[in-house]
Amino acid sequence: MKGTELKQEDLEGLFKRLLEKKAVDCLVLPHKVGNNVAYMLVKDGDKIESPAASAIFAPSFGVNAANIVKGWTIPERVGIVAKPCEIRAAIELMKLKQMDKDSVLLISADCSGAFTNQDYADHAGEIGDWVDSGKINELKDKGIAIREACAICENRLADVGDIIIERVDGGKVLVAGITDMGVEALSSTELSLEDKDVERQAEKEKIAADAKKEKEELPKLSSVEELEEFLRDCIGCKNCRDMCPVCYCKECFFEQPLGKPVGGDLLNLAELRSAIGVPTNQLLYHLTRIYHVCTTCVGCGACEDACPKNIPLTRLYPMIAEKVQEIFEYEPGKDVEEPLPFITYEEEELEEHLR
Amino acid sequence: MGIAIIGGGVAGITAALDLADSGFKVYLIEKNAELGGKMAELAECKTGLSPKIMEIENHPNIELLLSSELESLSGSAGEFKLKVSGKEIEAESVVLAPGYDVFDEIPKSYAIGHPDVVTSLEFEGILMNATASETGELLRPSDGKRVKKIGFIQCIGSRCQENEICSTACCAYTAKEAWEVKERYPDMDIYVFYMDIRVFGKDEELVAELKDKYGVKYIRSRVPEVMQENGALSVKFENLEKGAIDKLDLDMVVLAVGLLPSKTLSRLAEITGVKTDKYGYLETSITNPMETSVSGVFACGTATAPMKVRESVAQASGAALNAALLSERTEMIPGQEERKYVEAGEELKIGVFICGCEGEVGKSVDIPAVAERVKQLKGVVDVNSETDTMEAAMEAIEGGIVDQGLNRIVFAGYSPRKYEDTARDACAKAGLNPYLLEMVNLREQCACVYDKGAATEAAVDLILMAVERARYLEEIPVERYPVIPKALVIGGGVSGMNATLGIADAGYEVYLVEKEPELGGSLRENIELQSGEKSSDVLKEFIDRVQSNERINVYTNAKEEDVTGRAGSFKAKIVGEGANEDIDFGACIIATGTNESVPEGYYGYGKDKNVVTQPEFGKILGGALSANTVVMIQDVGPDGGVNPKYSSIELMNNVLKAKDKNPDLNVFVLYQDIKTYGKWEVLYKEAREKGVIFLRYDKDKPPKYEDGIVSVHDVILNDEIQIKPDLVVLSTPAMPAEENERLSKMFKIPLKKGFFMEEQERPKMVLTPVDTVNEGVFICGSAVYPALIDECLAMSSAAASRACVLLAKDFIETPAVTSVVDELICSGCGVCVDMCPVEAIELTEEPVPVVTFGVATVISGTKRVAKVNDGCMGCGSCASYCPSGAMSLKHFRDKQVYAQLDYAV
Repeated sequence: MKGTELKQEDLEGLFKRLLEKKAVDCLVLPHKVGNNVAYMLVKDGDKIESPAASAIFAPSFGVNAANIVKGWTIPERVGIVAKPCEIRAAIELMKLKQMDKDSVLLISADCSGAFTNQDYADHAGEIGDWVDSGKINELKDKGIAIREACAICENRLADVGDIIIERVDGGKVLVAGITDMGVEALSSTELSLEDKDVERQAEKEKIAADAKKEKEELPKLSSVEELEEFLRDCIGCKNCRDMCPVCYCKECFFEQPLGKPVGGDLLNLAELRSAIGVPTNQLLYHLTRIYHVCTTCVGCGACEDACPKNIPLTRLYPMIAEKVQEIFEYEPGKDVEEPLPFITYEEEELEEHLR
Repeated sequence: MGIAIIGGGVAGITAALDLADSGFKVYLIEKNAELGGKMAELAECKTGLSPKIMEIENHPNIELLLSSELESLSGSAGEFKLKVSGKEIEAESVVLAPGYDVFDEIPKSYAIGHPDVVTSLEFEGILMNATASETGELLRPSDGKRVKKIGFIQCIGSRCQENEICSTACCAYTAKEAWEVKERYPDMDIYVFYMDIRVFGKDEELVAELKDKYGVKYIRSRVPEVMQENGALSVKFENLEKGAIDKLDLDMVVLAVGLLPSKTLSRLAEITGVKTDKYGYLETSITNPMETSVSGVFACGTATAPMKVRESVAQASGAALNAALLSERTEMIPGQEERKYVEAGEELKIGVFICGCEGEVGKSVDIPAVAERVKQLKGVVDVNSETDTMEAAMEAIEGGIVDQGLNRIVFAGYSPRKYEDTARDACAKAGLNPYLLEMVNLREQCACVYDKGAATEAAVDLILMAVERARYLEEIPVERYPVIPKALVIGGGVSGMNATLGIADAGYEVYLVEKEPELGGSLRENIELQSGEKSSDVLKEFIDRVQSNERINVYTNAKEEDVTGRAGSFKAKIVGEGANEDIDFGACIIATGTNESVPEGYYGYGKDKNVVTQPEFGKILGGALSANTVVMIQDVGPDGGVNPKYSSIELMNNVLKAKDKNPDLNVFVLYQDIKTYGKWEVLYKEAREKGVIFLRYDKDKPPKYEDGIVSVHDVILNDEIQIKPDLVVLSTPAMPAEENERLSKMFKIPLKKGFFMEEQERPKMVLTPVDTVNEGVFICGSAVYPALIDECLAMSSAAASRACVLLAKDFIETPAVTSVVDELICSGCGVCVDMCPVEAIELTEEPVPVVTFGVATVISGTKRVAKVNDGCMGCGSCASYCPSGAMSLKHFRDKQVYAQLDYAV
């Protein structure tokens, strides 16, 4: 990888130059909006205002940025600056042809875990824009906790996409291109790049170990009865689907007559089973959805944030997905060239899971 | 007239179907009251064979003469007259397929008569009974206790005084039985006592797996007796590891008994006048493996030599083709007639047909009660529960459609896997679209697995589910396309030429493509065949016949490219020297043969002129032999090939020739397994009698050759032996033809170790040894597995026969159950494109215009939509993945499956 160290505030200039030099035609960036942080699609670099640079590290999670560029299949290039989980989701969407590889420039920034955007807005003063694990623990003691999905996330450091923005000591950042496209984009901004090889193995391992510990402490769903109880409050609004970055169907099966029976179809079902719970199919909906996203789920937790009934969906989707991904030795969003498990065929595989 | 086939075992059945399916009149004569022969007694095989029996029984072109025997044969080829149990038949040609009988003079020393000592065939019956029993356990016949230790003893009645030849099939069938036992009862201890393991190809892998993965103990020792003490069984054997005699207690002993010519064979030979050989088999030659001494009378299967099902079937197809060439096509080919379907209409009229299946369903399902329950279902206008056989059920269905205007049929009884085609055909005959039929397997999935009370309930549930599904069945248009009556044969060796001649003689045009400048393949090396014939003479005859046949177009220095299409209608390009031609054809045969390997660097080969390969030694034997001591080493040489089937035979031939030339010659053969299968066993015996010394080496301690001295660790003496030879002869693997890789991709046929042997995957493929997963493409000869010329000729005739069955048709139905895309729903993710095993899906792209008012861009994005092409074979992989349900498989639409499931839960 090729990169350079910058002062954090210099990132604003970098983003502007990416637009100016036409490395991208537009840029999705987090911005401060009052106490909160939200994404903006910027076409004119002049609109990148201070303190844009600090917003990219602000520990707030609203929407998964990959969801914004889903369907970006036009030649004009968009850049997104986002957390690693969002960039991973974008990479999965590229594999699923829901955006074109060449027209999306992925820039991932280090993350220490994030708060829901409500929590962040409510406690913005205490949280600040740059947290580390010590700060997170301190806040936790005060009753302000990061999202469960973040607490169990093992991949918080920026290491995916085309460009990475790492936080280094002294309030500085390291910006580096890790793909040809990324290096090319950075070069066009007239930064002087040098070969960088920053090994953060120890840090990564520590994060993973902490995350695993958190994960073990989460309540487990170990039977169908427990799952039914877990989903008891589901009202079938499907917000979890709409906010999921890797749910990509144009028309969800559960909007079609078989998945969402109405009128006569509903009556038929009632006749068949004498009585049915309505709205129908909540359990089937979640089981189907977990089946559909189990290999591509990046564990961002957007589903849980979206649930109006506060069902802790992180304990369902990322937890099951992790097990499936382990079986297939697949890490979603790691590499755009790595094929999806569904399309790889080996005559002899998974034998230990069959018997 | 027609063709008479004697013997209704697997060979007779295969020959009869090939012929009848291509429009010949067939008389199938079987001495027993039922078809199937010995194969129907084999646990796994019965399942595979019974649909074929069913086909025969209902075939309009086959006249079945059961419990009938041939009494006389007169006339000659083209005008035979047969008397069969009093009935006169006229036939142009005759195929003899009387099969085998098992060796039945088992010495008393094997404790024969003890209930726990059984023959392999009896063991098959015990396995079948275990399957059918309530617990599924394998129980000892004597006391009903669970069996824990089984010993298989091989070569009972083979390679012995009473029957000096090798029965060929026993090693593989024992392995199959051991595998089946281990799969079902993993903690069973299994011991196999053997002399040599004579298996090839896939079976070699099976034996290796049995040893390594399943823990079956293979012990090389000829067990002379089975001892019994107070009813308990034990055997004594030579423990080579310990160098001592060991005793082993066993719960059960299975004797792998050998094959003998059918008892009816000598009388059959007398009646027909065909010659038999000294072992009592029908006499054929290795260059005419299906021809008898009487012109117009052909032989196939185990009547010619002991062999496995796969080889029998290949010979049977081959014999069928030979017989067909003397006969006239007089009959219609079933399924070729134009069919018209009445429109099913809006109103549902469901007919449910519950069949007793010859008592098998009736014995545990209360059919009248089920019928009563089903009658109450909405839309069911008729429930028929009167029939007990497939034939009667089909008549009832046809009647129901015609008389009552039924437009959805639920047929509950036999397995759809076997009988769906027949039942669909019955619907079609009556004018109902065949996809408006739903089947319920009341036998295997109900009556066989539930006890009496539960079976009736299960039957109701299964039928209810089927009726629900039937409500949503759709008519699927049945389309047809014409068959191009031409064939492409790839490879101009003896297999390719034989297949080419077979097809051309049957009246079809053939393109024969050879990559080399001239025809002939490996026979161009001038060698002496096992029969003593010169390969050049055999080859010349083939080439002359090919070149003088005006239906054959030969392309040398050429290859085929860009193959597209499907069975009956392919297209390709032939490119090469002076050729650049687009061709179309209906069938293709791959006969690319094999290559000899060059064991460069092995035992100094290439540097030391005294180290040669077996074929090279064969050539040396054409001249003077100066050596006094020869060491032959088997199974050596480069990786990447397979040990050809003829390896040991080639070795024995050379050994005997050498001994003829120089009787004082010292010959040492260092081997692993001597695989002189069948009648070739006598060569091995002769070699031993002539003083050739056979030393088995340990696989982990291969022989060494240093400073002119061969040293080898002999397993039996458990000592190192040193020999100073004048000549070292290596038996090396056979290598696949280079173009196999390309052909495999082009025709989508899998390769194993570079050969097309994957197709023989047990159990289903043994019945169609030359067919491939790509319908209309056939394989034969050493391209499948390097084999002797007789087997190559049988296989290539078989491939030609199978191709002719296809080419004889005027039309083929387009696959109806294929995938369709709902373009409005498709998200264009393309996963289905990558998943499709036959590359039948592509993504189309088109720009989508913007609907907003800015000026940034003129398109909103690219709309990608999957499109299903012609090659779809309806596997449903795409439909099962597609998360939106945009991709669906006709006949298995979500709503059809859901309707059925909704009743199940």
